Amino acid sequence: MALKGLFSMMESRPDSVLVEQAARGDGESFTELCRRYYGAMVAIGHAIIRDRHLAEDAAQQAFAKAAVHLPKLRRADQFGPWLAAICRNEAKDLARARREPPVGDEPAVAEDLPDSGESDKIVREALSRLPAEAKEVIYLRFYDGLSYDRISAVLGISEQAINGRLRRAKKRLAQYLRRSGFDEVDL
Amino acid sequence: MSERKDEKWLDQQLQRAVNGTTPAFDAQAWKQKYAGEFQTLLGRSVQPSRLSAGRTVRRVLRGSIGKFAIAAALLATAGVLLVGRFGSTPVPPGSGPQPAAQQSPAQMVSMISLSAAFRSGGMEGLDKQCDRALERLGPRPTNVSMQELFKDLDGKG
Repeated sequence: MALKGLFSMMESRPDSVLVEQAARGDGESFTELCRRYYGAMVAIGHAIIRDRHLAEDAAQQAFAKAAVHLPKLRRADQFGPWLAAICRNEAKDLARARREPPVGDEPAVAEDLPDSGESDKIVREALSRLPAEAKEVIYLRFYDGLSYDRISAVLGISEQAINGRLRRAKKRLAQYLRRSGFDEVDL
Repeated sequence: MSERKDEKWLDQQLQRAVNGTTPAFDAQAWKQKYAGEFQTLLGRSVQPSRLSAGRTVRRVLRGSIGKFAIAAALLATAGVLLVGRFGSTPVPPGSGPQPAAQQSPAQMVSMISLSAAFRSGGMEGLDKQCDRALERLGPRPTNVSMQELFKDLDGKG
């Protein structure tokens, strides 16, 4: 009962409070931050490296670096964008180690999944041709249906800016899909 | 197809293509895998005073009032140091210790008079100075009002 109360108290705390407590060596606050940002970090990693397990590795390594360098973070409200930047670097390093060009550096071939249909393949191909920034916002939105509010906390931009970024990304996708024979897509 | 339908179709396609379900964060596994990093984080809890002092100083320095207060404190310190170094103000002529005959009992037991007596005659001189001050006061009644006492000390009695 007491443990449940502790968890609910921890969950209700804003990110910035947890960041300040974690910077003072509070392990529970840091773990709660990891829980909150894990999905977003895996999505960011997956937008760069086309391997889910490596994307998870990138997210976990980003947390490890954040644990060490947290006192260097000057503004607690910038934790999300700061962590996202670390995660991008980790994912790019993993992609380089795997000799896979990180997405956004050059057009990449879509990931082949064994049971994917033709339309899925084409959509993935279209996704892989998006610029890194656009692909990242698509992944954040559709990986696990992250809210605009959470995406805003991760990217450090307003919800309007996220909406604009998403619309532009979808328009580009629609253009590519129309060229690939999906005549019905008209955004 | 309408734009809204197209967007819905595209959203569905994207959901399938991205194929994501948020994995749960396994805190225990992470702590084991990155034990060194986690210990570094926990190690900061043993120096709270140093951290909070640093944060307090940073906060004070950020605020304009804090900056002003620090500037004022620095100026005051510099002023005190300068006065201490160069500010041994010259004694105006005639303001030195008066001859004992012209001094009131209060002047006779002031720090200047007592230290002058000590310099000239040591403990004996100091003793004499106190005796002279008592003589000047003369025999006093046992019951004396505060007003009378002040009058005596000022030598106006």
